[in-house]
Amino acid sequence: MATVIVVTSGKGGVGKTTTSASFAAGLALSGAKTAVIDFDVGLRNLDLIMGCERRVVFDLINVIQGEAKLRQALIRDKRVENLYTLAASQTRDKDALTREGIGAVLEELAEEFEYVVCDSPAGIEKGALLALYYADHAVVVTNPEISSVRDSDRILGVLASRSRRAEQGDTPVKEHLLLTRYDPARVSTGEMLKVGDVEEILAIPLLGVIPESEVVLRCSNLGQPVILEEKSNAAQAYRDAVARFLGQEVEMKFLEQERKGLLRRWFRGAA
Amino acid sequence: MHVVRASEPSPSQPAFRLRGTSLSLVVLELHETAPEAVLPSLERLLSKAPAFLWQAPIILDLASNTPEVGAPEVGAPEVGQTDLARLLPGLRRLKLHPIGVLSGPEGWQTQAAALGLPVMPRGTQRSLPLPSERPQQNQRKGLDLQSQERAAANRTSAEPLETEELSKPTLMIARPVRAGQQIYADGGGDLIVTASVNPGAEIIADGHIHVYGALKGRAIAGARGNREARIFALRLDPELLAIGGYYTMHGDIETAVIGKGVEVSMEDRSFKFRLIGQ
Repeated sequence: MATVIVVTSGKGGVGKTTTSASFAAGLALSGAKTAVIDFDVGLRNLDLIMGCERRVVFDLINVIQGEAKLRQALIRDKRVENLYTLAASQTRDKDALTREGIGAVLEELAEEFEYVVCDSPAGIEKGALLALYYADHAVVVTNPEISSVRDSDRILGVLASRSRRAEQGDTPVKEHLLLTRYDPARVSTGEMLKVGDVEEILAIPLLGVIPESEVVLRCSNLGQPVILEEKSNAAQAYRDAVARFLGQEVEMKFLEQERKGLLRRWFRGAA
Repeated sequence: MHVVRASEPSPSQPAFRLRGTSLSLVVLELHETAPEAVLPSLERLLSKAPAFLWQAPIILDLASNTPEVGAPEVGAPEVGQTDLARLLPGLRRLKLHPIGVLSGPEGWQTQAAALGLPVMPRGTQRSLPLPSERPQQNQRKGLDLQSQERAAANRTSAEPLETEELSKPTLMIARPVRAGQQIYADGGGDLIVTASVNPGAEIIADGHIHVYGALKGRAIAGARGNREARIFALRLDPELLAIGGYYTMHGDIETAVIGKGVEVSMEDRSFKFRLIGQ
């Protein structure tokens, strides 16, 4: 049985799709066959971030409605082995998503894949509820600011009451906090919430802290998961988060402001 | 196929289990018994919110001031008997399910019994008579220190707990109460949360509220008007507090108690904050 991971947040624009792409790529790089599914019907973005937007022939809705086979709709990644993308439909209405349909797709994926990453749309409407319904794990993506934390709190409540595991009285969905767009400099001036503040409110284990980085925007425009960028703090933080998810112990990095050494300060002054 | 019947329980797995429970039910209090007087206005009321009592089990209660059957006369008058019998189909047509009546005048109980409706004792009535001083002692229990001690003394004397106490179960919540969630300990009970109550969450109890964590959401104690109810929090930082219908907002709470262990009570219609666990 495949492990189903939902990447969710409640709030929009916090980095769900960026995280889904990198997390799925990270799992695939570890050797596990992984599929990542875009649940944001009508506003598909995942295929852009994965750089396969020109290779989408069939999408999730086509598979649910029996217009295409799952095999035809899965797009094999050109850079990472074992990584497949299932795009959302841009032209269909999100009413085309059904719980039974998703269940059937996940069941078929389970025959072949080890991990299925579900990229949830923002909000707590139908698309988001369906994305989290079958989840075994939830990666809750949160920015260090108060409205994002509030929405994450809300979605954690939804996970605890409206997931399949909750409805069937099974062991609860395993929750992981992923703090993104973390800027230690702005944290130290009090503009952003500290990691500890967010942990205290959400009260779930911290999977990783992804530092704010210009690399993320560049990767989005290039259509490449951030995690594949070699020399980037954000990529390193995503690799660490995936490693922690897989059970390794990795120290948290990038929580402190980079100290400017005397030399560097001197050079900057000279330049 | 193996079928377990109640009459032939298999030795390993009994076919049934008896357990006690307490449920919240809607009571239809009748000031008149004639269906012509009751049903039209009830139908109008239900049509405003058709889903509210759709297929709901209800209990019929005869208000004590009802003229026909309310008087404690023995033997049911013919008219009254047909009233209840005629009322039931009307209620079922409105998608209500009468499942019993609360005890009342004998005539009323006889009518109900004749129709196969069980007669239920009132919440304040006990099936067993209790020592006369006990209920009085119980009334003001659990608030001031003196009576707390008395309550403790009651327990240690190995007497069984009173039924009234058992019918007000405490609701225990061990998970964080999150934004958008609402938890209500009704039926007169207390609410204990052994985690935090987050901003945007709401906890309500007819009795007291205890939060063994940070209270950052809204807390409403004594929701049915009990001003003796109290709120206890390990770290008090609420959006709103209410006791017995009175409320106060975060900005009106003295800053000295914010973030501390606090007991909140209502005295002379104003909130009192007392630091605890210092």
